[in-house]
Amino acid sequence: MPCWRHFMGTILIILSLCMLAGCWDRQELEERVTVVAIAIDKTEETADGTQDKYTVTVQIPIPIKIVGGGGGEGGGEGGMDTVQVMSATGFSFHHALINLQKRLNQELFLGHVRVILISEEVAREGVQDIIDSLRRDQQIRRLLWLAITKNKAADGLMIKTSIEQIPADYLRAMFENSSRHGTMPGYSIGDFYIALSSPILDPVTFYTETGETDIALNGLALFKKDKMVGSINEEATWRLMHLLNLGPGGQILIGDKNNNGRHLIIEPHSVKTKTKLLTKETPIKAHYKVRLEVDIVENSTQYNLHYPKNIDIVSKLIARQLEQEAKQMIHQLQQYGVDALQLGLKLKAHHYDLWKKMNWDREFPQVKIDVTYDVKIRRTGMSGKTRIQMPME
Amino acid sequence: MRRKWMKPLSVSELRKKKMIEEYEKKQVEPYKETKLHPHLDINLNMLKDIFKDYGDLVIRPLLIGGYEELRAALVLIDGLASAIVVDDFILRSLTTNVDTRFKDHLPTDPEQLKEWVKEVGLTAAEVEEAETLADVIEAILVGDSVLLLDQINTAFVIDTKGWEQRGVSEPNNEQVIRGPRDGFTETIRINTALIRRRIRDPQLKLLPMKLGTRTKTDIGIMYIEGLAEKSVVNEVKSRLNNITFDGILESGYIEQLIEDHPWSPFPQVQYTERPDKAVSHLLEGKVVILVDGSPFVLVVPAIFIQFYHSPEDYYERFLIGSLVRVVRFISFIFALSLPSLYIAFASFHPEMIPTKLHVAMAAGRATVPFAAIVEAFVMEVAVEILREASVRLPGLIGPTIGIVGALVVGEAAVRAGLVSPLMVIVVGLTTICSFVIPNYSAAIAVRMLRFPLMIFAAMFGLYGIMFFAIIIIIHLCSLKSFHVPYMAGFTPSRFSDLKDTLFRAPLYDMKKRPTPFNLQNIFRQGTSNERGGKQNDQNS
Amino acid sequence: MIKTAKNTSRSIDNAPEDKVITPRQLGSITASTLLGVGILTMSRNIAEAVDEAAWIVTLLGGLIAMFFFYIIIRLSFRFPLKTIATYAPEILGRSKGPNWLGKLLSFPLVIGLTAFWILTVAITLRSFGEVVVSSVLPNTPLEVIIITMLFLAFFLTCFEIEVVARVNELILPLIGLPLIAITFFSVQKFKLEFILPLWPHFSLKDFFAGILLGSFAYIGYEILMVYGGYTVVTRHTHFYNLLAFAFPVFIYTTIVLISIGSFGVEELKQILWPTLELIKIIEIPGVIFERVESAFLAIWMAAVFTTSANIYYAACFLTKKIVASGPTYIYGLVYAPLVYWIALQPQNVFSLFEWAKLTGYVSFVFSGLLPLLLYVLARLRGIGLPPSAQYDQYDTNKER
Repeated sequence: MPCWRHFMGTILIILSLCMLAGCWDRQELEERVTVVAIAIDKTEETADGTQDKYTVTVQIPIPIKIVGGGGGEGGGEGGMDTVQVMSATGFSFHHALINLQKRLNQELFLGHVRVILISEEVAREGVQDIIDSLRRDQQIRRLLWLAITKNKAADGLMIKTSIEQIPADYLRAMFENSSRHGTMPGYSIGDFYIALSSPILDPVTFYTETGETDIALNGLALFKKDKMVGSINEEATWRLMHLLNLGPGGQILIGDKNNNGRHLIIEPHSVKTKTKLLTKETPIKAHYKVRLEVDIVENSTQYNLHYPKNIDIVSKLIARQLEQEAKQMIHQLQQYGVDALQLGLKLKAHHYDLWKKMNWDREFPQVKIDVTYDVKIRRTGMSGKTRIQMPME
Repeated sequence: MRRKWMKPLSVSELRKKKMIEEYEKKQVEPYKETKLHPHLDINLNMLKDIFKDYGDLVIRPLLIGGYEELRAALVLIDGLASAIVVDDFILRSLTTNVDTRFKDHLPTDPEQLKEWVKEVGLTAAEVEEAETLADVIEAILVGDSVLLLDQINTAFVIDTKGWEQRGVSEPNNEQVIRGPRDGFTETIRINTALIRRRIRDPQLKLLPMKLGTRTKTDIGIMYIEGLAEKSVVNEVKSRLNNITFDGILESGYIEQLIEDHPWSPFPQVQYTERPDKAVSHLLEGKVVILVDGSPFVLVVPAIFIQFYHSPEDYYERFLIGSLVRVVRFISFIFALSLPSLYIAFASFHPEMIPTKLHVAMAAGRATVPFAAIVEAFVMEVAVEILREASVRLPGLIGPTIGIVGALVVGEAAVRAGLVSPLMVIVVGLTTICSFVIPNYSAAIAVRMLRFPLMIFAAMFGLYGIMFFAIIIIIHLCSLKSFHVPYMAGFTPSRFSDLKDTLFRAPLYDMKKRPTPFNLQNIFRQGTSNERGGKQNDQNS
Repeated sequence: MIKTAKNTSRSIDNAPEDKVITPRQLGSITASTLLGVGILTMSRNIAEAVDEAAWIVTLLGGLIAMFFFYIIIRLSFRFPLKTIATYAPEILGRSKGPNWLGKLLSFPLVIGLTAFWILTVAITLRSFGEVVVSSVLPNTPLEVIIITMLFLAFFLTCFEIEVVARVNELILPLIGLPLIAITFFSVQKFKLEFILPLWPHFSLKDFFAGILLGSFAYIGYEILMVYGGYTVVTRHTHFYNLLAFAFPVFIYTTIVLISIGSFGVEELKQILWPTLELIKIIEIPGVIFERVESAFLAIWMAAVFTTSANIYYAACFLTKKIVASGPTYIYGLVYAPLVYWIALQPQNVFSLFEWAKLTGYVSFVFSGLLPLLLYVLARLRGIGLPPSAQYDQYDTNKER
């Protein structure tokens, strides 16, 4: 018996050597075409009248051109020199990938895809088939960024940047940092999946605008089921974030832009929102109470913030504007019928019986939503008055 | 042994058994029964016959006290016996001193003479009587002098052992920053003294033994009675007694002959060059085996974790000791698995590494014509060769090989695009990590297991690594060293044992001895909850 | 040169003559057996029946299973150094003299138990193979994964029962600590609204289906009917074991809770392997490894190994006790092709899930009703040691 055990080891080694011959999944790093970003566009009409629906564009980094990677002698240009952009068409997303694969020497590897851009044109027609294909692919992450582009999505992959070596990395960092710093809600594709499969949530994702050589965050794209129905701009997104308690959002300009520079820029620091659902009445009423702490970043108004009285006035001023903007945003949402506020979820969670009785989709546009801001100015940055500020009585 | 399910002894086994019996019969001393003859000349002739062609045998006839009738002869081997002892305490005392001081009392009766020689005549410290020829031969061969007297059939064996030997010096293999600098030598007596010097306890026992049918090497089994398990001591004794090897040249022979699982890559007997380490093991209730001719003493039973401990862990303050142990454990894991993790990530799970690193790795590997497994294998084998080469080379050239091998060849290989830069880092780190393991044989186990782990990583990625890791775990759990589970400390676990495994509790907190070695006397300090030193401070 | 010095104490036979499992080791066997394949699919299964209440149901199911588990430890501690193969005839038939009736009655039960274990091992290995093949090693044949896992289980049968205990004690922290870490890290996407309402509307039938599914997740603790008899019984033993059972209950409940809280019930129902998906959304800031699901699967392989190997060992050991001769590994060899064959029977994942459910129903008989029956009978007939006589000589020095 002891001998028996020892021979097990030998058998194991022989067995393993035999199996080594068929290492089924071994595929070396350099034998994969690593895709870092995907863009999906609607196919322009082709001359030969093919029926292809999508043009899928992928960005592939060229390892040798990347600094730090052994062979890279004197390399290190950023931007488009370090990546290859390829595109293919197909009647579905995956079909396009198959077509793309035909033209590649190695197998496509989607494990490092960090950004997927979909053009608005495609999104408005529905993304169900694309999402389905993405969900079934085990290589696709759940934490990648999905963004809708106003123009051609493929342009988003062509951005020129020297800051990052791989343009897709630049994009990823842009989305990631915006959500980390609380200037954008960090909706990943996973959240999109969740919203898409839930009967009460409406998918929401980044909305961007691509230029010739760059890309800019431009708010949120709103979906009804899998079809994009509209978008809200960045300021509205920040108000939405306030209401959802997601983060302080970006810096806000208070006052009239055209009013001879009499304006105020504030930086929100922390936000705390209380939501109240008044279910007794029909239609339902919702009340948001936002408590915002802000710093003053720029002040060209006549108010000298040295005086507590002025601070009161200014914070009321700020609150009034924010409330107004928030209501505008809510109005927009209700017009689209997109429950980005996730009120339905709240209703289901806290008033389950009521929710079961009503059809929330129809109900949402009628809901009366009230917003009050309570702004606290924490830091003014300077004390005393500047020359343009008039003494206030 | 229960022999159910095993076939009865086969013919070949029977033949083997017979051969062993015959061999043992041949080895039985032919002179065991031969008594010494009363006549000196006959005895001398017999000895001359036995020690034929012995160029270094010295037979020195002498007359006790100068009396013609009191003839005697001293037999010894030149070089083994100390000339000073022979001259001053045997020859001079027997011939000169007697003449002046005991002239009148010199006895003539054989019995009386025997008494007299033993008590008065010989001034050497250790004198024994031998009756058979076998004893005499053995005594001569170990370096004692034999005094044969005419008309007396007993010989005197005088301890004159004194050959050239190495002094106590600092151990080379187990160096510490803080701790005693003395190390064992090749002489068993010095070694036992080094241990005895540290434990002044009458319970410290030393069982002598002679092993090796031809070499007759001195073996000493040391243990502290009351601490060491009796069953373990008996097991050691019986396993040693079973050895019928003809030559024991090093304690490594003993280690291989008494270990439980010769096929296991893991060492199950610990060796040490350091007396302080041996003593600390004795105090834990373990048994120490000393072998003459080897500066390495063996410690049994040995468990897995003790090979990753160094005496320094106890000498330094406990936080330092614990931290060092954690570092050592991490390097153990790295030394074992780093190349295989590299293979797994490079060939199976590239999605796990960050995109930037992925691209950088792909760039580094772009020119490498081999798969990651081949790359890793070649590099690891190269490092093993380098290591072996630098061990064998004389002191001054050794490090040069390391530099040439690691820097020049490595750099050139990267430049030539044969290996990726990351692979060089991985291999370098692995090698350094394997040097952190304090025990050489434990380090070799890790080096050995690294290669199958790499093969499995190349088959199934992380899954394969885990597969082999589980096999290693099962194997480790099945090992036993002298009835003590090899993984003792972890399993069977016990809180007080865990205090001295991956980290080290403060000394005042380690009140109990590790259980697996010792069931009788578990407390090593007072049972009070106070800290020993602190308590004294408060009193004073 | 002839080597003769050899250790003579090596035993060939796997039968321990002594109680060789420490209380902690038995606890480790329990915990690591329970933490098995169920963890991956359980949250979806239960959520399908009872929606948001899934985590409560998991907890309830765990408590029910814990009750049966307690019966099993009480039962097996009554019969030191015996397995169910030996004591079932005693309980069912005459306790002294020739006991044909007991043997006749207990034979189908014990054989059924063995068959059930073989089935469980097969299902476990198949589920694991499916997960591995579908998520990390897409091109590796399923058969290879099953064979390698089966090899590990078989490798364990080459050793004594105490080795099983030791392996479990050593591996449990390797499974437990990452699981706790994952539970800890996956809280970041938790959304309170997703787990509310605590008690949505569902029918009583669904509720019981959920409870049943909840208790099925805790499959495998009935192997204590084999290991229990070889355990040193001290005053800690019961405590350690209930604690060991509570650990998987805690982990399972938390994972179900967090899965619902991170995905919402509707999404959860669409995900094939919810726990794996849960790991995908873990972000460990500043850590070099990005997608930890492959690493998790590797660690989780150890969990599946302990589950399958413990049960497999129990089946082989029990067979050895029934046949009353031979070393365990012979039966390991005999059962291996059987397990392999059964494991390849389900056609796809969905029919596998059906098989798993079926196994769950059968488990109710073997881990619930059978021990309960035996225990009640043993109590009534006064067979076996009464609880007060079960304790082994409690010696502080010897207790390890």
